[in-house]
Amino acid sequence: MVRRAGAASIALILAAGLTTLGSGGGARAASAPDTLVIAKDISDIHTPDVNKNYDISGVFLQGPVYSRLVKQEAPNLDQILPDLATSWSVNPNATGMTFKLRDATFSDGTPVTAEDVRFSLLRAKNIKGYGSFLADPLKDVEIVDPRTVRVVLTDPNAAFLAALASGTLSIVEAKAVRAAGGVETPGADKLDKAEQFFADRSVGSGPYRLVSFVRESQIVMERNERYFGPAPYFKTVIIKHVKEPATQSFMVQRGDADLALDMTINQVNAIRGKPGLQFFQAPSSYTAYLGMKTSIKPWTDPRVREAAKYAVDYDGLLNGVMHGAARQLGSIFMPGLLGFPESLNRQLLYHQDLNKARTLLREAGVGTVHVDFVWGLGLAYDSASADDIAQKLRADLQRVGIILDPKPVQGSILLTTARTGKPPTILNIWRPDYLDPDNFTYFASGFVAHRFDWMDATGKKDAEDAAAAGSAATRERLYEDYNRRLAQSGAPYIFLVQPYAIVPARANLAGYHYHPIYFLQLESLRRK
Amino acid sequence: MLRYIVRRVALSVPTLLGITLVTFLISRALPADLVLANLGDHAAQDPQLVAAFRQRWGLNRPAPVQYLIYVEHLLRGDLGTSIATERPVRTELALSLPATVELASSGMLAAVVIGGLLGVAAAVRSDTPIDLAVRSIMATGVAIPTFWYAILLLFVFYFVLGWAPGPGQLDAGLAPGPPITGMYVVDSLLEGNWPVFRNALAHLVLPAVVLGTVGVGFIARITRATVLDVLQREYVRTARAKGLAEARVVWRHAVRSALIPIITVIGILYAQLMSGTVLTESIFSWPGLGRYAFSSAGNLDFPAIMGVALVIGVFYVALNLVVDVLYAYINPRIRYE
Amino acid sequence: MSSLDTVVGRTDSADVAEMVRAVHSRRLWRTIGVLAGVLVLAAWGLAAAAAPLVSPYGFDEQLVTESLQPPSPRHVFGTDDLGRDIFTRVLYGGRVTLLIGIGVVSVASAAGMAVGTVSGYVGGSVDEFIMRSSEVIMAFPSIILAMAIAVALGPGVLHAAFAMVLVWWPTYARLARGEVLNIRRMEYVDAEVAIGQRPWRILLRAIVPNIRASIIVLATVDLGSAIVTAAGLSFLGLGAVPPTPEWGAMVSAGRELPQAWWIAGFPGAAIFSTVLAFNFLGDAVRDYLDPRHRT
Repeated sequence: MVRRAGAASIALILAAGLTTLGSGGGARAASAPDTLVIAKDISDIHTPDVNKNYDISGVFLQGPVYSRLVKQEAPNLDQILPDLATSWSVNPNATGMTFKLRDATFSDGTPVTAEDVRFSLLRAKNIKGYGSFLADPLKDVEIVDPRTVRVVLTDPNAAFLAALASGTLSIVEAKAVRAAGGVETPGADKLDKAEQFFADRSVGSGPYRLVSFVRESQIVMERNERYFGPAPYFKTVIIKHVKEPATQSFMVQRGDADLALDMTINQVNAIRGKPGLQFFQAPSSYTAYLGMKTSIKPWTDPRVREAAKYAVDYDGLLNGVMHGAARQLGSIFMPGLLGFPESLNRQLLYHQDLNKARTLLREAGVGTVHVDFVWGLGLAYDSASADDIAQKLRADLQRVGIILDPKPVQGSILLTTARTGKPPTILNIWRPDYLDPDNFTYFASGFVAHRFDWMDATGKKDAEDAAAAGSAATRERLYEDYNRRLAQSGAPYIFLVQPYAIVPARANLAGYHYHPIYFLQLESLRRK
Repeated sequence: MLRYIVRRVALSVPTLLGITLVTFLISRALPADLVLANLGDHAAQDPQLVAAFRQRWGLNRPAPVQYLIYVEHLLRGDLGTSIATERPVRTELALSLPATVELASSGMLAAVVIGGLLGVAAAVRSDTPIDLAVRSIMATGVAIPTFWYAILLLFVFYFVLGWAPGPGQLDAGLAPGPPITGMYVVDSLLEGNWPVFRNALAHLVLPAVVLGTVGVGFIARITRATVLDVLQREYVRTARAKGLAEARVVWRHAVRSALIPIITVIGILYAQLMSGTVLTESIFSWPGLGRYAFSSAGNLDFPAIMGVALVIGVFYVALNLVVDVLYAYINPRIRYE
Repeated sequence: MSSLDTVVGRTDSADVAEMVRAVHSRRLWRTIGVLAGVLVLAAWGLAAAAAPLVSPYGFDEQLVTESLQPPSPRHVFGTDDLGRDIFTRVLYGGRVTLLIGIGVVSVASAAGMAVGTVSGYVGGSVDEFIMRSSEVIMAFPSIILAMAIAVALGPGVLHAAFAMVLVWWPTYARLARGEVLNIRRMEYVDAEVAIGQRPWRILLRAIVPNIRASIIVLATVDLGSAIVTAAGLSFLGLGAVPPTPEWGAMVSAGRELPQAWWIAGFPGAAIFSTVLAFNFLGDAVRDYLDPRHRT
């Protein structure tokens, strides 16, 4: 009697629960044909302020909602294309650039003027956010006339034109931001109060306008009907925060998401061939390397560093661990950039040669040796899993007697750990802020090389000369030399792979283009 | 009674201060570079910027002074500003706290109802196959790693069966109205926004079940023990001897007396659920307090860490207080020492 | 009422009536639970100890060409994404996981018991301070503590265990203190005081043996919780680090590939059975030690 009463109540509760589930779960979000739903982990976004944001997922708040003076698109990474500026001229010593603005308006109808450009660029510099260093070369921005603006640099800097395409240097509507407490003058880091204004206000001139951004929840955007370029296909774009790759996989398979952006190669391979899905693939903008600190044993001896380069089983890494979804690298550049064509990349590759590695170690007088090894637990660099690469490297180096003692850190603090410069060995990546070779030159000197207590004078000079050089041919030659310097036997980097971005998508999508900075070109996506 | 409450409230002050002190000490003892973590490589090389940063966040003062300043601000209701987002910590907490309260309360409800019924069933049929089965179910909740359990449930009820919605608080495309309490289910109910209400409720079921499962075992165990205990007491035997129907014996005597210990554990359990949500929140992409605590700690965002610790501490202390008062109310024999 | 009763009742012979009485004496089902628990634990303990003898592979041996294979005679539990043998890793993982559970619970219970006993026996301001401190710890969000330790010392099995001990001792301290307060009032302790025994001898001789029972009950059940908690920490990147074959870390690594169910499934089943076994054992210990629950 009692038992039956108990059982009945439990059954009742379960039934009630499931009914609720059933009724609520029926609605498919992605069923609206003009709505695009993207599943992505966006928990790294700290601030909605576009001029301040320097978080990896923060580009979703910058890219589609704002325009910049110029833009770059894959696959022609070298090409700088008009965006808000229709034409520009750079003075011979690359210290000044003059831009002619197009006839464009912000999403609220206000015209885009030279004043907006001046305000945005100077605000990005003076607000002293994480990404403000990108605006460091700026000396001043001068308004020539409402449609013409002149950017003045402190030093010759040919690369700054490309930097103007980066998200931090997005052009915002000066009047609206100023009304919300925005400040562009020196001291803006203390005076500016506009930061939170950007969370639900859209003051850009990009193909979309921001409807709302809620931290660890979603970004909602709607088509900007006043966009100067071709109107994008999707009326609404929702970037839904989904932390777990496994749940992203469920969502894209069920059609609740159109694209899943955080899946590694094994997760992708597990759902290949499933009905209703297709897979977009492109080389990503991540370039992965193993850094060896030259002031810590055994890496103090260049022969040991060289031995490690010959110990890695690159084929196994590429085909066994990455299942072919990557390209082997000979330097830190993305192959295809100025000064690093794929042909040069091939020349600079290392190949596994255990005998050579063992000989080098013997010459260096090194037997079995232990050294700490840091990587970010659970991190994924597009389709590459940091855990898998790290464990593969451990196993490889172990074969020649270099024992990497695993000292990984929680994924979200890898960058902080790397910045301390303490890890003796570290698996890390480079991801550009803008697509110019200049953004890859911190490896011969500068803050990255500094972490490994290493400096290459020739490489440093190459980078400096190239930044100041006006001619593309000169820059090309200098960057080629720079890459050769990084590939030399004693350099503290084992260059590994450029993983591919592999994006599972609903089969009815078309027009996918990977973007090295903004992940993808939202405005070109459409349904078949 | 009033004196008892006042005394308990007074006693909670040192506990809360202790929490802020412990959090402060932990934060400052970390061998991590706060400046580097928050300014980035480029800015950290500029001594002027570093000095400005240190001054802005009060890092240039001696640690005890920093702590006193924090407490002073706290007394004025100021929880400080998050270093990572530069927003007031109070604003940030106002976003993540309701999501967690909603989740923990639903989890609690699930735990009490399911756990209570299972516990009674196990007690009444103690040492039979039913008891064994119930105890297995009870143990199941604590025997599967939470994150895996959550994924399995999503796999079955969302992916395979399609009964439950996917992760998150709402379907993509649905927007909650202006926040009243910040809890989507409550707000949409108050606003009469039925589509959001139904959707938010549906999204709540799976994470609540996952979170509640830990509590199910806990509640069931206590219920079983208490009911078992009561069933063997003199007065129950008397009642049985008088020929009272077994069901009435169980419901009238046993279950009622089991309520007291259950109420006492509910407080502890609720506090545990509040601070133990990080795993469930991670899998269900739930923007709650657990995630906030986790990411703040990862960012070395000290004001935020202090804020989270304090809020959870206040919850814990307050819940215990309510439970104790309730207990004293139900059971007047307790001495107000 | 239960199906067993009906089946047995139908045969209606004297021997069976005896059996029915045995069932009704309610020992059989309890015994089955305990027996299963002991068997499972013994099996895992033995398997973990004999891992190198049972498996031909190393726990970190990567056969990249054999990655992601489902269970087969060659790899009875299949292989993971780096081509490591799951069976081998589950066996070795038992060592790590069981040690975490036992280690955390023994240290936390010993420390908590010591602190709680002193607190209850000495009383006064010492008691007040210890109880306030334990309350602070219990009210403190443990995830922040675990994260802080991982940031400060790096993730790892030992550091995760350290974080867990820091959070777990107060429960034991409070339990021990309560029991001490109860026992202190009893006559035989008064008697010991009266005959002039030193306080620490009274503690050791009269009080500790009496509180041991309740502590053991709590500890047995906590063994299971410790294993599950460690798994959660691994998932958050705060626990065991690759390539350590800890069961929780293996489930966490496998969760990302639900299609390759064997990667998370086997270590998951190992955790499940172990924790269940500890729970049954805990219940049995409770019934045995606590006279109120004896029938």
